[in-house]
Amino acid sequence: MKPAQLTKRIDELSEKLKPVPSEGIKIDFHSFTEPEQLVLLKNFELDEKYNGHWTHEAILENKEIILKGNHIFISRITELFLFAMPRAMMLDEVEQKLFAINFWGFLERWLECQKNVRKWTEKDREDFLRDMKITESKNHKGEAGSNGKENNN
Amino acid sequence: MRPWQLNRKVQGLSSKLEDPAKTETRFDYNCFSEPERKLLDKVQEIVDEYAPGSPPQDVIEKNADLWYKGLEIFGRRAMELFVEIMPASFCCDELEEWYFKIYFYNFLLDWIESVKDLREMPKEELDALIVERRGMGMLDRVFRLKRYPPPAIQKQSGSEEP
Repeated sequence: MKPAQLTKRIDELSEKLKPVPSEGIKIDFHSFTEPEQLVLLKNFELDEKYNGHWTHEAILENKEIILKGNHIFISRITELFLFAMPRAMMLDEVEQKLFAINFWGFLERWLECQKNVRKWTEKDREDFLRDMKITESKNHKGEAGSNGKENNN
Repeated sequence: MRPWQLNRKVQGLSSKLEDPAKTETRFDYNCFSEPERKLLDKVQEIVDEYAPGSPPQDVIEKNADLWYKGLEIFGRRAMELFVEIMPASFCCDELEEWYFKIYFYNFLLDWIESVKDLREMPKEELDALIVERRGMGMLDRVFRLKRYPPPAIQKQSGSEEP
């Protein structure tokens, strides 16, 4: 099959796959070990109990179970991502190594950034978010303007 | 509870969670849309037909659209899940989530660029590079990449550059 034919067939398939809305993807619960399932079930139970109305005391009281639940999710999600992406992109050995180097580099840099952002004052965070939103809306307007121009041409 | 007490309790939980029979992390199949499931079922049929080996190249070629679309679905869904769950598990607020996305998509673009460069390299050069890197033991470990400082931008008063 020629690349052009393949691209056309993939586009057709993409079109067929497009209209169905996705409800979001989840991890198969059975792929967690039994102790992990227990921690997660406890987390779900707490979530149901507080139903979005977590108090400071409730969080402190259940801190360890919440942290452990998050830890399980983070490690499992990272594992799945590192397994699926190189395979989905059919990477060879060297490309896979390159992927790993870039990935761990990203994670380390982001954690460093996260640490710094958490040192910001509440006011700085609010100012930054506000500026960001203003820039974003300006960019949107700019895009709409240039699209309009293109359409007129 | 003091931080050291919390750490001790979490450590206690960690040792309980160390399960020798570590399970593989899988997607919940029911979360895929119906057309996605149909496509993945077809791919699975082909895989099962040639199991335990892999399907021959001509079979893959014949079903290239199904095959590549299936891989694309897996890649896309894995990324979707990662981008959604990671900031949530780190309890990120709006700003922190925005930084996460910036760093994540930059990592993806950097990596795609480096793979593109690798794929443009002549085969002999690439083979020599692999032999050299393997000899240095570099293919079995990862390390911190040197980053150039970001271009100077106007800082928020009192805020630290992330």
